This record gives sequence, structure tokens and C-alpha cells, in this order.
Amino acid sequence: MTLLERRRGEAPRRGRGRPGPNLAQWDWVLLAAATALSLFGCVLVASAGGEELGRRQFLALLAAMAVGYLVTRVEPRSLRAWAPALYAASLIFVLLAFTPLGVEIAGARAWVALPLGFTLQPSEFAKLALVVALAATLAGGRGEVEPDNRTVAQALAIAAVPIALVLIGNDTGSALVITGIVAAIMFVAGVSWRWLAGLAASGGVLVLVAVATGLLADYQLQRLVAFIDPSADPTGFGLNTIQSRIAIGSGGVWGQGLFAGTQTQGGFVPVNDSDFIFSVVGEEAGLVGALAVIFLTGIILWRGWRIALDARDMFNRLVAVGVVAWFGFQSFENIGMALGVTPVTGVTLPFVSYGGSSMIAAWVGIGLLHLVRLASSPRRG
Amino acid sequence: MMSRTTSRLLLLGVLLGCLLVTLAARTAQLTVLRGPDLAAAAEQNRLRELSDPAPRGLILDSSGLPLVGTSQSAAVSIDRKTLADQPDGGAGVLGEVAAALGLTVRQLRQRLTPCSEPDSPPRPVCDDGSPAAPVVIATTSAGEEQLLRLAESPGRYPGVELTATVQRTYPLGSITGGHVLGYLGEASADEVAATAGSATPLAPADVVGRGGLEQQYDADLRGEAGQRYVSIDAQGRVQATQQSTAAVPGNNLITSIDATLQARVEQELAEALRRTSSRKARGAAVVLAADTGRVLALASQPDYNPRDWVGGISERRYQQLSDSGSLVDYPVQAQVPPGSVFKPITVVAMQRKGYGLNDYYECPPDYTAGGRTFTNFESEAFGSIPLRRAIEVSCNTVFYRAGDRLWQRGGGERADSGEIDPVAKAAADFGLGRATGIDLPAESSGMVSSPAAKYSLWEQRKQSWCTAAKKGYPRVREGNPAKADYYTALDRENCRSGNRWRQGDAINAAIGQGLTTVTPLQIASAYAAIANGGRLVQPTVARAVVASDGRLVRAIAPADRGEVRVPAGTLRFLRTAMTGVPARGTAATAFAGFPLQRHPVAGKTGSAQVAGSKSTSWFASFAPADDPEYVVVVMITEGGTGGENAAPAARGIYETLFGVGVDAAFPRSGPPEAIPDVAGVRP
Repeated sequence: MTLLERRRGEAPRRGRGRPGPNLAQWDWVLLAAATALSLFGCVLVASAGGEELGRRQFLALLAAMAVGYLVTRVEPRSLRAWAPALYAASLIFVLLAFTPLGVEIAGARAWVALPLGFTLQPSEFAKLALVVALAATLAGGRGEVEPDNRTVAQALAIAAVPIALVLIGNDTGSALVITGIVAAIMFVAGVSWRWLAGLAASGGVLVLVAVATGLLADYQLQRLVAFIDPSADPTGFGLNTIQSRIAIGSGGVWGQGLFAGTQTQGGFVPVNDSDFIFSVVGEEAGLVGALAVIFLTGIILWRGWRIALDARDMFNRLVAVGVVAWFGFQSFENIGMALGVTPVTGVTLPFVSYGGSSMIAAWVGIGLLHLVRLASSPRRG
Repeated sequence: MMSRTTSRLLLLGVLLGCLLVTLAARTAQLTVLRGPDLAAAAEQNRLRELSDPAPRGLILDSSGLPLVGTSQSAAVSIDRKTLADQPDGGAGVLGEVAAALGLTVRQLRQRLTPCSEPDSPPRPVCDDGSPAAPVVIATTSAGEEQLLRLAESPGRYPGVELTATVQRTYPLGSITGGHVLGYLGEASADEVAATAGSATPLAPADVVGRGGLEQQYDADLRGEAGQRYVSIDAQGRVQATQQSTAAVPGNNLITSIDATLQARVEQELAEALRRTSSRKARGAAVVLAADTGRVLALASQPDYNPRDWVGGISERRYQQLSDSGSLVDYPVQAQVPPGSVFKPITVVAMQRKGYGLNDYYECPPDYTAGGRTFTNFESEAFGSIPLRRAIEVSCNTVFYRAGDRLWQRGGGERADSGEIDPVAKAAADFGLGRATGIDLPAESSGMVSSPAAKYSLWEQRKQSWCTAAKKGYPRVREGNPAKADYYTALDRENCRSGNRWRQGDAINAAIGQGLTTVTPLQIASAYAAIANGGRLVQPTVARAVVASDGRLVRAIAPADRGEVRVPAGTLRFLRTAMTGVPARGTAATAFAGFPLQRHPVAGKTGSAQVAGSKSTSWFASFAPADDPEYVVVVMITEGGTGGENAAPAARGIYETLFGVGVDAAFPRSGPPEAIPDVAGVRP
């Protein structure tokens, strides 16, 4: 218990009941990095998709920050209590994508239409709900012991449903990221190596079976291959990664200047306001800008990881781990596909890509990290 | 327990750190190490060089009348790459474009096939341009309204572009002038590569002259295309023009062709061809200025109409033209035996060897030498006649004997092949056996029958002669042993001694038969030398290159090909003798009723024998005989005797030259000498 008992004692104690925002307890480094990344994202979205899109992204950012703040106002204990309800709600939300309310984009049925022309991507929120649900399940009730087989099985069942649902919706990218999140949470939760190895092996078999039986759609396979050898399919999915690499490479060290990238402005890279937004960074802000994005992402991951390390209990730690794993894996997958090192799957770059769902979800993640941090502060001792 | 999850958390942190480092390293690799390459690829993505075609120069007749004009028109082109990038491979776009233009998808597909592909349709249906360049599939001639329909919705048909293009117009309906004028075609990939780096490089979509003056003076007429570098977006929409240079219009070409005369010449030749009632008949007519060699009219039949090429020629039409022999420029390229129009040259050889021009010569019906009998046309006989009369009635036997005697005096078969035959020498002096150097493409040089020619022919063919003699024509032998024996004997003879200049060769050469072949243009040039006192002229079509603002760029003077070195008296004799041909000789019927007193015509008919078909009809002439201004040569294959077919056509041409019964081509005095001011001429 030694590490978890380490406490920051600097926070002044308030009176009992719901305390107001305690600015001193906020992680200002994390907030600064997330804000900086989000604002940079607004500029990039404006460059890729036009000023109007940038403005909408900025409004989404303000809304996302507000939602994130509300999350920090939740009573930490009630979060765990609400976990099953959140989980259930998120699954219903994901299922909505398959109703007439659902919208299909780029072959993936992963969006839900809202009034006024807005769409929401339920899988973004499903990830968060899953993080809380898994943390609640694997943290157990009796302190920090290795989760027993039953608990692990329970966690796997909880994880399997949303993964299956996004796969059915053809959202391979989200499925990959969720799998990564689940793996990270189980790993840190102390699930035995035996389980982990077994799961990895059966996962591999499942993928093989999926490929062999044609369960994986053709375009999904093409995408998977295209990143390895883009010239095999230069007009289809290979084109995206070729064009993205061209854009990034042509940025050089300093970039061609914001709003001045020829490939970005000419629309040569497909979906460069969301899936391939990193190509805009590379072309217009160059190596320097790209490293800045990676660096800011790194700061967010570091601060989140720190919060996980400092968490008061297993539940809180696992929530933080889930959020960090989500940010980390999704950023890696997104930036990696723009650079041609990971398969082309449609996932957003957290904080940067255009899209209200993505932005709000990211800031809910920041809110959750703060919730963990606040829960871990001495005043709650 | 806690230490276990903490150590695992540490591991997770390390993993995430590694992922971030991977991304950073890869970014650095792309931007720094591969940056320059990828930046170049980005430029290629984005920048397009567009060429603004220059208005092509006009081709004008000697009085400044435009024979070939130019107009800018719109053209629809298709970019194959963009088309291929469509999810359906462009099938949808092609279908809609075909429907809008009233074409079939198959036609479009054929047009889009590069000529380099193995199963491509024949030129010019297939695309001979650069594989990367858009292919023009239709021009305004296809119907303006249809093109505009395509242009209205640019985004709707990816890869389809509406561009400006230069088109030729032919303002004069009275003439076709196919082979003189030529036509335009798109530059082939080879031509683009060949001109790269030159002063006038070709761009892939450029048109170049094909055939005739269009080809010969292409560099003058073409002008310089303007260049525009435009940046485009992924849909190919132009976003900005980076830089541009304006197109420089091509220069105008003033020719010595007279439109009125050309029309009459084409008409006379076409009629002469009709008279033959042979589908295989081919004709040529040449009108030169006797002193300068300037070409006043030049016709070839059957010919093509340059209008056929405007907006692209159809595969079917091209095949028709090719099958009907319309793509050969007969006055310049036909190599046919001259027959009796060669006789004046034999006269020159005779005079050089001491024959008296005013002596009398025997004209029996036939002449036997070396076991062979050579006859006159229809075995006519005239008894003892002066040389002048031998020319008028075209008595072969007079010239057979002369050829035989000259051969014997030269040493007969004992003469080695290096020995210069006097008749061959005279023919060479008059420019036969080599191209005249006319400013039209692909001129043939013909051949002069001579010991050397025979030897080199034998060297080329002896292999096949000897092989055939050895085999003995087994196929022919099955049906006709006698024929096979004859062929075999002939081949054996040729194999053994085909290199020898024999008696029969010399006798045939004296009347323009045997190995001798000429182009109508060579005969015109030779007759011009007789007419003008011995100067060998170079037939020349162009007179001047004039800038579009009227400034003279350069005058084109016919090159001097030297003197034929024949005594003035001999030439005078020939001029006088030949006036008798239309007056009372072989062309008398054709010229009956023509005012020869006022416009004396000197000429010579020819009926050249061609193995296996009707003889080639010739009439070579000049007028007025006392001070020749014009040379007129007409040649018609399958045309029978010269008097029958070629001479009547020549007579018609003289009617226009002198204004007999029709308006004269040159109402003042001869072809204009001053270069007309064409600064304001626009067709």
C-alpha cells in the first residue's frame, strides 16, 4: 500500500459536503497540454476543412470543456455506483447506430443522427463507459488482490459486447482501440499472465478465423494490407496513405505554413480534417509542428499516467489507466496511419480531429482523470 | 500485490513512451530524410503545365488568297489517368460523354487507346500522343451545342476537359490541294521526345504538319505555344495560374500556287482520270514557271481533302484513302517509266555524239538487234524523215537505232560497268535519277537506266534470281511446264549475267523504257531546262515566310541546280521540233482548235509501257515555245497514249494559263513577282 499512500498534502481542506472547484488541485499541466492541443486542432481543422469547420470545432471544444468540468463535479464514489447504468446506456447508444437513426460513413455504421444535422459517434462514449465498467469490475470489492477467474471472465464479457457491436458496425479502428484499452486495464489490474497469454493467443486465432472465413470485409483486409504496401492498391486505400506521406514529407522541417500547404489546400489527402489530420500538421507545420503534437500528446499521457500512479484505490487507478490507454492507443493508431506504420482504420486523433463526439469524449476523459486526481487528494482521506 | 500492479503500470508507461518515440522517429524520417523526394511528389500532384496553342500561320496563294486558314475551336479531351481512377474505371463517364457527343463508348475507347498498344486501332484513330497527355476526342465540328453541354457541368465528368485547340479551315471550295497543303495531326510521343531541347519543342497536345507544306514548313507555321503553369486541386480544378507566357502566332506562308490555276489543274486531272475508266489509274499534273521553277500548280489524283482531317479523321475514311492510293503524292513520289517524253534527252546524247540535228533518219516499222525485234507504236513506218519529224511522230525505231549505235560505239558488252553511257549521262545532266529538292516531303529520286544502275540492281537481286533458277518454279511447273522453263531460263540468265549492260538495255533506255523511272516533277524540271536555255531549276512551292503582322521573315528563292551544258542550238532545235507535236504530231488531236499560232505550245507525248497493265500516258510541255514561261507536265497511269489522255488535260491547263475561252490565271503578265501584303488577311 506504500505507493498509494503517498499523498499530496498541499491542498487546503474545505468544509464538508460537495466542495466547489478546487483550482489548486487541478492538474494545470494536463489542462494546458490538452487545451493547447485542442486549440491547435481547431486551427488545423480550419485549414483542412475551411474556417466554418474550424469555428464549429472551437464551439465543440468549449462544449467539451464544459462537459469535462461537469464530470469533475461528480461524486467519485457515485461514479463506481453508476458504472453499470453508464455501460448499459452506452450500449443502447451504440445500438442506435443500427436503427434508422444511424448514419453510415466510409463503410462504417458508427454514427447516430441528431437534430440540426449533428451526428454523434456512440463508440467514442462507449469506450469511456467501458473503462468505468471494467474498472468497477476488476477493482473488486475487497482491496487489492489478483482478480479471480470469475471476475476476469465477467470483465471479458463486459468488454466483448461493445467490441462485437463496433465490429458489426464495421468500425475496425474502434474495435482495435477498445481491445487495447481492455488489455491495458486487465494488465494493470493484475490479471495473471496465464490469462493474458491465453487471451492474446485466442485473439490471434479469432483474427485468423475471421480472415479465413471472410468474416472480415474485403475493404478491411485491403486497408490492412495497404499500409504495408500502398503501391498494391494505389488508387484505393493505398492512395490515402501515399498522399498522406507525400503531404507530411513535403512539409520538411518547418512546414509550408498554416493554411498554405499545397496538398492540404488542394484536397489531395482524403478526410484530412479527421482521420488524416496529422498530414495537415506535417505539411503545414512541418517536423516541428508534428513533434509538438506528439509532445503534447506525450504530456497528456504522462500526466494521466501520473494520476493513475497516484490513484487512491484500484478502481480509480484503473479508470485513469483506461483513459490513458485510450488516448495513447488511439493517438498511435491515428498518427501511425498517417505516417504509414499502422493500418488505415477510421479513428480520430483525440483533441485534434474534427468532430464534436471525439472532442467531448476526449474532454470527458480529462474530466475523469481529474475526478481520479481529486478522489486521490488527502482531503478525501 | 500493489507493487505488481504498479510495476505493470510502469511497463504500460514504457510501452506508451515507445509508441510515441516510434511516431516521432517516423515523422523525422519522412520530413527530413525523404522530405525532398516527397516534396517533389507533392509538386507533381499539384502543378500542371498547360499549353496554349499558338494560332497556326496561314498558307496563301501567290496573290495573297488564303488556301489554308486557321481558327481556334474548343475541344473535349479526356485524361486517361483520371478516368482510370474512377471507381468504375471511367465506364460511367465514358457512357455519358459518348451520349452527349452522339458517339458510342466503343469509339471513345478506341480513340483512347495508345497506338503503342498491340491491339490498337490504326492511326489516326488510336492516340499517338504522350501517354500522360489528355486525348482530344471531339472538337467544335462535332457540334458546338454538344460540347457546351459537357462544359456546363465540369465536376460531373471527372477527367473530361474542355480546351482550346487550333483548327485548320480551307476557305476555297474550288480546290482540294491535298498533297500540296498537307494536314495536321497530333504530335507523336516520338516527335515530342525528338524536339525536346530544340528551339521549337513540341508539347504532347501540339499539332504538327503531316504531309505537304504543313509538314515542310511546320516550324514556320507552328508559332510558339504559350505556357501556363497552374496549380490544381485533387479534382483537377484550376486554383491559380502560377506564370504564363503568351502564345506567339505562327508565320504565314506565301506560295507560288495560283488558286485559279490549281483549281483548273485539279479539275483537268480528275477528268483525265475519269477518261481512263480504270480504277487503278493514278495521275499527276505539274505547272512550273519555266525560268524559276516556282510551282504554280501541283495536283495528284486520287488525292485526299485536307478537310477530312479537321477534328480527327475517322478510321474508316483513313482506310478508304489508304486503299484507294490517295495518300501518295504522285507528282513527287510516283516513279514511272518516262517513255517517249524521254526522247529529247536522247536527242541531246545523239547530238553530243555527232548526230546531225537536221539529218534524215530511217523510220522503219521495227528494229531488230541481238535477236530481238523492237517495234514502233502500232508498227507505224514513216520512211526517211528529219529528226524533227521523228520527234513529232515519236518514231521509236529512229531512237532504237541511235541507242544501239551508241552502245556499240561505247564498246558493247565489253564495256565495263563503270563506263558512262551517253544517254544515261544526258539524263543525269537533266536531273533524272536524283530528287529535284522540291520543298515538299518524301520526294522520290527515280532511276536512270545505265550500266551502273544495272550492276547495282543485279547485286541486290542476284541472290533471289539464282535461288529461283535453282528451284525451277516447281509450283508453276505443275500447271505449265513451258512457262516454268521460261522463268527458270530468265532467272538463270539474270543470275549469271544480269549485271551486264546489254544491247537491249541500251535500246530500251533510248526511248525512256527499261530501268529508267522518273517522277513527273523530274520531267517538269528537265523540260524547264530545255525551255529556259539550260538552267536546271529546283521546283519550289513556297515564296516567302511572312510574320502575322506582315513583316517579311524570309524570302524563299529556288536553289540553283546549275546548267545542263547543252549547246544553245540543241535546245533551240528541241523547242522548235516540239512545237510540231501539238501542231501536227502525236498531240495534234488533243490540241485541235487551240490557238497555237498565238500561244505556241512545245511538247512531247509519252506512252510508257508497263508490264501487265495499260501504258502510262504522258504529256510534257512548255509554252509559249518562242519564249517559254510555263512548263506543264501531265502523267496518267493506265492512261493509254499520251495524246489520248495526258495531252487533252494539258491543253485544258494551257487554256487557263492563256485565257483561252476562260479567264486567264494571270491576267497581267505572268505570275506575280512581288510578295503580296497579307498583314490583314484573315480567312
